[in-house]
Amino acid sequence: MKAMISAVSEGQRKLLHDFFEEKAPVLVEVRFPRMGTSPDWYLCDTEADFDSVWERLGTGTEIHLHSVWDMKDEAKPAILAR
Amino acid sequence: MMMESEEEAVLRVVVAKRGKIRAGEFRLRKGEVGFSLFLRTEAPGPEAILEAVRAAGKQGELAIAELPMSVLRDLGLQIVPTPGGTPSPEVNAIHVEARLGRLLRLWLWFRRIETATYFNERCAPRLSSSAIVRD
Repeated sequence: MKAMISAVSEGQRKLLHDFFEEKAPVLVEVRFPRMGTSPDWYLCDTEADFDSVWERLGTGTEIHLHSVWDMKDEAKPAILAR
Repeated sequence: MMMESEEEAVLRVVVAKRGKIRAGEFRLRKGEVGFSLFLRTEAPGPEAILEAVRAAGKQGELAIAELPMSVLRDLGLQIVPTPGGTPSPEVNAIHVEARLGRLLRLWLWFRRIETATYFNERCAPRLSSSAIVRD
């Protein structure tokens, strides 16, 4: 599952909803590209947990969602851009 | 390790608890070609950099780590100015990347070694041990 989206719109909400429905708990990696710093990590059980992370983020950040049940390198994360 | 204040240095925003830098702050991700840093300048200064990164949503006890340019040179890293990605245009203007030299990248390519793998094994530990957290 892989997607690149810029905001949590209706369609994107479905993507998130499905991801959490099928794969929670979700390890959320927030990357800060070209910002001279390392990623932040959050463990989210629910979409509400994710929303509280999302709301704090500014533009330019990149969010990678990984299911904790599927942490192999080959597993493709869902990717969102803020 | 003490660093003379005049020595050239670049800056990285790190999470530091009681002055100790978190492990993994100096790693390159697979697919990345350069390690994201900022030049040390008077304006914008370290506070402006911290503010810009916080504005992007970075959490935790943030601090500025200084990396002596001499260490980067020893590691064969070259400083390449590239646009930053923070919400601050002034801070973005002093963004740079530390990249492996062209010959070294070619050598890695021939040996099918990922840039990030080499960087994380050879450069990251030295950068971590050389970094100085600014008060």
